[in-house]
Amino acid sequence: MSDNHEPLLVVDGLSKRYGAQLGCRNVGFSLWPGEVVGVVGESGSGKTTLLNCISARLTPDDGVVRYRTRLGTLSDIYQMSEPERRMLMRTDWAFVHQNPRDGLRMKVSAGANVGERLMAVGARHYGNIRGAADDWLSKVEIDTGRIDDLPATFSGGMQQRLQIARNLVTGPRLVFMDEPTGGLDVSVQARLLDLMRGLVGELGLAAVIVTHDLAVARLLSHRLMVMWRGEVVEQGLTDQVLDDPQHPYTQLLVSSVLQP
Amino acid sequence: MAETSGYNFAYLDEQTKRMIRRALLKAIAVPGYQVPFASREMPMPYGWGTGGIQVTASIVGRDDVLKVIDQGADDTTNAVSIRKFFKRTAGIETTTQTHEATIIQTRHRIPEEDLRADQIMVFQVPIPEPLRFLEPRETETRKMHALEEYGLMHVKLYEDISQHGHIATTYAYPVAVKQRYVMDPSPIPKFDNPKINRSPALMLFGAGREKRIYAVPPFTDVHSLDFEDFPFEIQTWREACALCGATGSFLDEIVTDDAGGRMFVCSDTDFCEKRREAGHAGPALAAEGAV
Amino acid sequence: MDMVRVRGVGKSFKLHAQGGAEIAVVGGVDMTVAAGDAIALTGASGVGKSTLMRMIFGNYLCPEGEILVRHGGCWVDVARADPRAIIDIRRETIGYISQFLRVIPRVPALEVVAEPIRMRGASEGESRERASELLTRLRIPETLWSLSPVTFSGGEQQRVNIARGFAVPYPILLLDEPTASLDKENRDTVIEMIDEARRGGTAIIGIFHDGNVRAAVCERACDLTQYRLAS
Repeated sequence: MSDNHEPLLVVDGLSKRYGAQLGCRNVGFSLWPGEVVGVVGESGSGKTTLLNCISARLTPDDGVVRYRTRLGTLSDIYQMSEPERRMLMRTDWAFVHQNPRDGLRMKVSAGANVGERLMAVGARHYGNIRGAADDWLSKVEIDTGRIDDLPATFSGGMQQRLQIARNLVTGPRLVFMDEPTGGLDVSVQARLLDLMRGLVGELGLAAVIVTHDLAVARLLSHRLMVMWRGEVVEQGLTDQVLDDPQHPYTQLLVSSVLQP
Repeated sequence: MAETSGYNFAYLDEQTKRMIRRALLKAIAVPGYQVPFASREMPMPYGWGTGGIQVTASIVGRDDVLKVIDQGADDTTNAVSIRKFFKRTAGIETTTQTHEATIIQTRHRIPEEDLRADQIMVFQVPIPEPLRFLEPRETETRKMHALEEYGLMHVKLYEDISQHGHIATTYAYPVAVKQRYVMDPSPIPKFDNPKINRSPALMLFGAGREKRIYAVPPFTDVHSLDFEDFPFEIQTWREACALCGATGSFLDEIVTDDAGGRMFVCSDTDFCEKRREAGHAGPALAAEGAV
Repeated sequence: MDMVRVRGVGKSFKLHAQGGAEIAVVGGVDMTVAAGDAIALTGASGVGKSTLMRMIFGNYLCPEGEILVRHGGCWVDVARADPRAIIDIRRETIGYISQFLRVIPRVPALEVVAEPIRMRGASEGESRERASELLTRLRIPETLWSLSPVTFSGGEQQRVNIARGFAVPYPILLLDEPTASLDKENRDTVIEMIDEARRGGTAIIGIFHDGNVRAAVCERACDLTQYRLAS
């Protein structure tokens, strides 16, 4: 178990361009175990590019992303061998997609979706795998009677919760989330956020959450990074950034939110 | 039958045979690994065994004796055609008897009789990739084999158990070769899987349309995938062969009349005939009192 | 023993949407609070009482001066501390009861109060027990404990807020109008609770509109009018 005073993820000088288009520029931050960092910004801010670069889905043009593996050493994720990186993505890391269909196998049952990562790391006892899947379905408040149903028969909110269960079953230490509540009804969002808040706290997960919704950021993240046109314009304690915004763009963002 | 003139021995040119033999050697060196090869245009369309035929054509010599079976039988249309093909283009001896053959080309069965170290099995393979139905991308499946990421294979088996209460795959049942590569043993019934494990014979697999060759060298460990609490089991029948009375062979169901009459008969025709010659009789023959 | 030392603290807000208009609030604020002290921030509305309190809590940035807080046996300058340090300080040392409860849908009242106790390592059972005690003392009926405060009245929400603030024995407590929406009975209870904390050694900084409550709780006052910057 790594020392909680040592950062889990260290990002330095990260930049990515799409030809003449800027994705993100010179982004740097550190993430400690158990900490949630929110990345907010509007479309085109570069937040999704940033998320993909730090989760090994998109190779950056510049900069370094280092992750502290279970061995305790800080390793450059783009210098790792592909098997090592893929293993990391299957065990230590989790990625929750905005559209649950991107993060699920739609043609296999809910139970198989949750059990897959276990089978991928060598689980070979059907009863145990099914038991673990059952546990996780109840944790994410999905009726366990639906363990053999296909995800296509689930509502959007249920699919999203299934995606979360599928990701967390191997006990990852770091979760990346891309607009996890995007496209869901408000009441469904509330339930999902409550679940996520609970799991993050209970499991001591570190997370990077990309969202355009300031309320989601305030609820889930300890620290906040505000992105605009590919750059981080402000970062700090979440409530401080939202209650005492300094940068003109942050002030605009905060004042634009409608209060019901 | 005399060789038809105008063709190279066994139809393929020597350079092609060399290329295929190289692929075969690679395949033997890495058991279960799918080696790409430059599959040639053959005088029959894809789907009719061109992969198996190219493998046989590349290894056959003047002194070889070839047996060809399809679903276990020597007398089905395809088996007959392929046998004739090699007679015409190689002029070699052919046989229906397993123990006489040095090369046995097959679609969908492995003979019941134990194979010997001087024999080679050539399998006709439609889809060589065992993960294809779960992962359509070739780029992904290649990585999965390279990185030994086979969790998905077990997902398929898990689904079977959750839907049917048992693993429902009955043919083309995936196997792990030498605890490393997961392989599709071609659409043989799972009944035949144990025959591949540590067989004295060399097993070669050819997929013409998909352009892949793979192999299991003699005496190699080959285990069918399963779960600890749902171990691999082969098919069994309540009936014995109606003709020869065999109880341990793979039986085909044959409909005999319009009234729902049917009988179970050995799929391996050579095996059944041998037993009858030796005096065994199944219920159908015994009833008729004929031999 | 001193617990909070505010030295030369100043704050202004730059509103970029208003063409960069700068609103100076306070400057040169000096204040010291010791353990067992209860000091009231006074002055007219808008003078900067809440602003100063939020700066001490780390909720507002402090561009001028220093805000020293005794945390884990050392002095830490909240004005310069990094976010992780402030989170640490908020978990262990400084409690803040704001004017309004920020309600999260679906989280039951009992859980709202129990959370800060559990975050410090207490078991589920222990945190719920302590939370129950506080809710009972503040006269929140047990039938409401499993409901989210979303549907509670203003007064009920405020009492849940107060219970949460007192759940952990913080060495420093910041109170922003804690009795504003309460009836006499509950107001008296809160005064009692504040007094108990003070006698237990907590350093208290409070904003009280009600002169009587202020008098009952605080022996000293710090009038921020003297630090107001002309706008």
